[in-house]
This record gives sequence, structure tokens and C-alpha cells, in this order.
Amino acid sequence: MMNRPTKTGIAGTLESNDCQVIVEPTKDEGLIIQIESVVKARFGKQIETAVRDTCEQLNLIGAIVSVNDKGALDFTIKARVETAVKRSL
Amino acid sequence: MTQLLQERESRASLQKQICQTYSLPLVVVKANMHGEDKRSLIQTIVACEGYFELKKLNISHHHYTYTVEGLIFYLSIDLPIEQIKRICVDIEENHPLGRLMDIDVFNSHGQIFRRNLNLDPRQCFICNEVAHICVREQTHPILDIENFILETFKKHLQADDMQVRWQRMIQTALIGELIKPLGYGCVTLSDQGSHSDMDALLFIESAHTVSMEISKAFIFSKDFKQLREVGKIAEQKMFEMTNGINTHKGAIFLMLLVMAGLQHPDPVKHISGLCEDILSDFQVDDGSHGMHLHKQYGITGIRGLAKEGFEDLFTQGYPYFQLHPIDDTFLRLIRENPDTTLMYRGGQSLYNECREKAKRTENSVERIKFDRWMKIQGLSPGGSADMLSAILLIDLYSWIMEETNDEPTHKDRYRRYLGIE
Repeated sequence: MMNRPTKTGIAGTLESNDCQVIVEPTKDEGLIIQIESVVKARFGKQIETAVRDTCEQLNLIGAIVSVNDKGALDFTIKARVETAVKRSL
Repeated sequence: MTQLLQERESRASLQKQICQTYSLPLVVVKANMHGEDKRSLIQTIVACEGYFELKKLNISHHHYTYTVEGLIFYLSIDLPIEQIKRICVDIEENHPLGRLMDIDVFNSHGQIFRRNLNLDPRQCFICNEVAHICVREQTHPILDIENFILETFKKHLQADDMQVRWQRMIQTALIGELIKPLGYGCVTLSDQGSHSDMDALLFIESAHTVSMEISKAFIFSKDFKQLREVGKIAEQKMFEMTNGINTHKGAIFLMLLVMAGLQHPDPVKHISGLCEDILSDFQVDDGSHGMHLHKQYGITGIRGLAKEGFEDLFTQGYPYFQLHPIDDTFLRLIRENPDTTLMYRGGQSLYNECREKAKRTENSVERIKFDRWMKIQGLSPGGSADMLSAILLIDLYSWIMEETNDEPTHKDRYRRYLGIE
């Protein structure tokens, strides 16, 4: 079963070693991922992969997922994405 | 989501709420260390030292929380936010424990970062790389990081000035006992126990005040009269600070004598020699709890223990602590240590009942039940809490006097000071 957001879901904080994730519904079925990070130059790709993997595991469609990362580790990013998605459904 | 991530989210909303309520910049002080549970001795002391530094500014409102994120202070300060941020960065960079501190500055629009002031980002503990990069790449083994934390803390205690050294050790010992997970009626960082008039912050402030005074007596280790004089002043300063609430009266007496004893090869013998004539105190009624109990039951209390050089503390209590968690050590003290604070509040029969109950605390369910029972009865083993501080002082002293880092003891220190089992 696919999951499609019905409202905006937010999780996380903008503190060091954390990230804030905002999940918003879109009109089509696509998945748009936007990454902002204090370590974007070096780890932007890795972070995007972590976010995309988590979204796919959750069967997420029709969403814009914006991540504002302040140096979080992957497990934190994944946990924050998961919570934000749950809150958007 | 882990408990830590949940706590961080609720803290973010608390911070926002405080900023909006007071319309002032908010400084949030905590330890900057890894771990899923940050309620350890070192993390608590680091947060307190940050708080003491910031207290030099004019704090309009303050608040604290104690969760898996550890001890956190929230200070609303009426100064321009950029000025506050610069002061905080200066503490992080220059205080001996600054690298272990995390001092964030917020207003209702959000957080102000170093880069907003064109300052360099924080560097990693171990190398000079930007901290974010090392955290992200997990460049350094946890063991190296723990070693750095422990060594930084040790260096902080090993100040060149002996008085500063004693002040830091005593303060750490007095604040350290507050991390005990259950208070059995005593104040802890998580609750007020049986005391409606005190909380952990009052104890933290009082620990700072009295350690400043007690440490002045390190030169009087052979002079009981002088020790008592310093003790009287410390007591007076404590009551001024707390507005008449007795937070550390017993602890002052105990810490002075333990400090004197530790400076001699046989502390028990030394303290016992110093306190040879102490029971003559009972010839003059000073109106104290100890006096009252002596008249009623002939109990000699802490004076009697001092006369014996706190033998149990040095020969049983401290070795027990080296092998057991702080909660077990505290329970042992409640069972074994004649506690006049407890007796004064409860009378002899409740006192005996309490010590019996303290024997039946094998598992955590029984302990929580005992903790609740003590609070319902309004009892508080304050004398045992003082003893726990004394044990911590002995432990800290033996650590900073060590010449080398013995590997097995080092591991034990992790457990005791960083809460790593």
C-alpha cells in the first residue's frame, strides 16, 4: 500500500547534530527531495540517499520532503524522516 | 524514534515557549557529548560549570530540566543577542571544560550560530577538523573520545592552585551525589524527595557557595579549631545563600574533616586524632538536631563517627562504591550509617523501620516502592547523602593524585563518571 501525505508533517529540530524534516503533499505522485545541510558539500549525496531510502521503505508518494540538516547522523535523519512522514498522513 | 530524539523535540518547543514568554534571548547550557543517556557525573558537572560562568551575567529567568539529555539550564538574559553569543563562544573556547559544553543562544526567531557572527565553526575534540565533519564521518573511535572527555575533566580538577583544586573536587562531590537515580526522600536532580522547600538547583548553588569556603581550610589539616572556624563561616554563607534552608550543614562538617584526613597517610587515624575531644560538644546545648537526639537517646551521631575517624566510610563505604553502582552505595549507607537527619525527622521507631526496609531492596521494583514509602513518611536520609558526597570526594582525590592511568581502574572511572556500564 502506498502512503500519500494529506497534510504537512514536521519532525526534528534545527539544533547541532539534528535535522528538521518537513513533508508536504503534492498534486502528482512524484517524490521531491530537497536537502539543505551544514555538510552538504561533502555529504549531500549520502544524506539524500538516506532520505530517499527511508521514503521508499515507507512507500511514500506525492510528497515534497525538505530536510534541513545540522550535522545529524544517518540514523537520526532516518528517524526524523519516518516521524515527519507519519505525521503527514 | 529514540527517547533522546523525542526529548530534543520537546525541548525545542520548551525553548520556543520560554523565548516567547519573556521576549528575551535564551541561553541553553548542556554537555556536548555523545550517548543515548547523558545523566552522568561528568555531564552534570560540565553543565553546572557552564551555568556558574553564565551566572556572572544578569539572568532574568532560569529553568532546568533533567532527562536522558542530561542536565540542561535555560537562562533568559537581558542583553543584545550577538553580545551573549560572543560570550558563550568565548566560554566554549576558553573555559577548561568549555570544549565539553554546548551553549546555544536563541530568540523567538530561532537560533543564532557562529557563522552569523563570522566566527569559525567548532572544531573536533581530537583533531582540528570542523566538528560536524568528524561527527558525520565518525572519524574517531568512541574510546578515544571517552578518553579525551575523562582527561579534560581530570585536568580541570587538577588546577595548579591547591585551593581551586579542592574547591572543584568538593563542588563535584556535593553536586555528584544529586545524580543518584532514587533519593529515598532526599533531593535528586529528578525530584525534590520529601522536601517542598528545596530543589536540585538550590543544592547546586549551595554546593558552589560552600565549596568556595570549605576549600580555604585545606591548609588547616592539622588544626581542628581553624577547621571549625571555616566551617562556621561556610555555614553562615550557606544560610545567606539559601535564605535559611539547611542544604549542606552536615556536609560542611564532613567534607572539612575528610579533606583534612585525605592529606595524611592514614586518614582514619588522622581524623580520629583531630576529633579526640569532639564529644565534649555535648556539654553545651547548641540546639542542633544532633544535640536533641543525644539528650533524648544518648546518640552521638556524626560526632561519634568523627571520633572514630569515619572508619566505615574509608574502609567499607568507599571500597563498596568502587564495585557497585551509586544507587547500591546509597542504599548501603542508609542501612549501615547512623543517620541523625533521618532519626530526627522520623523518631526512633520509623527510623528502625526505614533501615529494615532498606535491607529489602534487591530489585528495582522494591527500590521504587521504598522510595515512595520514604516520601509518604516525609523521611529523608540527609546524613547518608552527605556520606555519599564524602565517598565521591575520596574517589576524586584518589583519581587526581594518580601518577599513571591504570587500564582497569580507568575503565571503572568510565562507569562511575560517564555512566558507561
